Amino acid sequence: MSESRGGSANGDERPIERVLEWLDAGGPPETGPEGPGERPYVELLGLLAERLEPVEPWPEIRQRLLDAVTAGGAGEPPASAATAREAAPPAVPEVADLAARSAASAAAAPARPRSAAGRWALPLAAGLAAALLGLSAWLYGEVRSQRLQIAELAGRLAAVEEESRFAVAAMDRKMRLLTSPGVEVCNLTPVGEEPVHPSSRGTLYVAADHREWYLKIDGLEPCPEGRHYQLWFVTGDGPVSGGVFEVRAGVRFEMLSREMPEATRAVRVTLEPAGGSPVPSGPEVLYGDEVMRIL
Amino acid sequence: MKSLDDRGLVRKIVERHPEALAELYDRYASMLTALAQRVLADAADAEEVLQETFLQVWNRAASYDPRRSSVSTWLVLITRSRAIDRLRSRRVKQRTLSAAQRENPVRHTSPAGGRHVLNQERRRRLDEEMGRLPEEQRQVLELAFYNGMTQSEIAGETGIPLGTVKTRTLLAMRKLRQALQAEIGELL
Repeated sequence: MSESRGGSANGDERPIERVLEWLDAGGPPETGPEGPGERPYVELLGLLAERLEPVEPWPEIRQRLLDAVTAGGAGEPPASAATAREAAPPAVPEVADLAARSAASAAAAPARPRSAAGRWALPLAAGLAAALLGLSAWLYGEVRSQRLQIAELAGRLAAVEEESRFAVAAMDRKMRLLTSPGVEVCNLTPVGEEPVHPSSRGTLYVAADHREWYLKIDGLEPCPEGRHYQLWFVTGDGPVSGGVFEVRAGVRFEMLSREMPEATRAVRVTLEPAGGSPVPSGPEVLYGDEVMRIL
Repeated sequence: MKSLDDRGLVRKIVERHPEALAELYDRYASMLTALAQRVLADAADAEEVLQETFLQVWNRAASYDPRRSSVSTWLVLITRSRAIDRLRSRRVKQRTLSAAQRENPVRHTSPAGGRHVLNQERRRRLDEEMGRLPEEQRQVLELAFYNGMTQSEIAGETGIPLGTVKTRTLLAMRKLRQALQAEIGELL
């Protein structure tokens, strides 16, 4: 292929271009492209990191991380690496060292009659050193605690912001699809006389371009251990996987994508071994092939 | 926990098992530290990003979507995204290309330590395939991925037309995907 490519991208290039556009935006995982054509390129990016020679992080980080999640439960962040490094040689040992040096110096001094002031000077110095020691330890604890709180709040704020951005973007995309002219709707219903999940229902909305789609499914039960649900687009050439998924009890499953095989004429959901199958092999859970145009 | 695969560990993290987070950390921390150091060219910043990454994993493991990526790629993307946010916020991206190319981040490597998911063989394969790319294609891909530069920024820095930058990156991605089909297949 020549480098002086012009005009619009062909179908083979579109997944790469979408991955590169997303990479340009910083590549946040939750907003990454989700089409099956793009997935190999996303994994390729993961491999690029593995090319680097591993670098062992500072060992203390692991312990601090675990201390934080164990103590915080809901995810209290640890002190920052810089904080941790600063904390390693706290002021306390210096004070202790000073006291020790003072005591050693006193012990090493030649024996001579002590004055009244000399008799209480050493206990006073030791007392002061002990007080300083306690004060330093208390201050160190306070500072560390406040840093942890600040880091925790900052982390939570960032997480909420990120979740909100993602939710708004997904909602916006969904609304644009659902209200777009020519959107088609296909209902997915349980299959057979004894359906796997009789109360499950799904609806697939397909944009007029027959590529972008939104699927919602209610009533599916969580997959048994070692199994996943798998979505299939049925085309004239056979079924094409639309991806594997899991559901949580009582929670609607939703999926939004810009990838749909051409000439899709039906949609199926089957229960497959974990990770999915190249062709449908498990029991069929939902099926739909009747398409209605609603707008 | 050691017997669980990565997705099993993520499920355990969702259920709030700190030992699962520890196992995931042991598997990937050294790789992610290397990535963050490569992006940020700063060991302390890289370790902060590493902590943020695993805290995000702890707090938001339920958001992991196996349809989008493998767990290892998910971790890589979180780390890179956080490192680039940090990079952009301190405006290091404005440094010149020559400075960026001179970078040689300080590494406190201990190759024998840790449990690296990546073995030497896979790294050798990746290096080999990157080495086979034409220099101009490898350069744009490295600037985009490791230096967090957008296609427009690469064009601005190198003086190469934007369309050419895009084409070179695209060709590099396509060639690597073909060459590394087996390795990518393991992650799908």
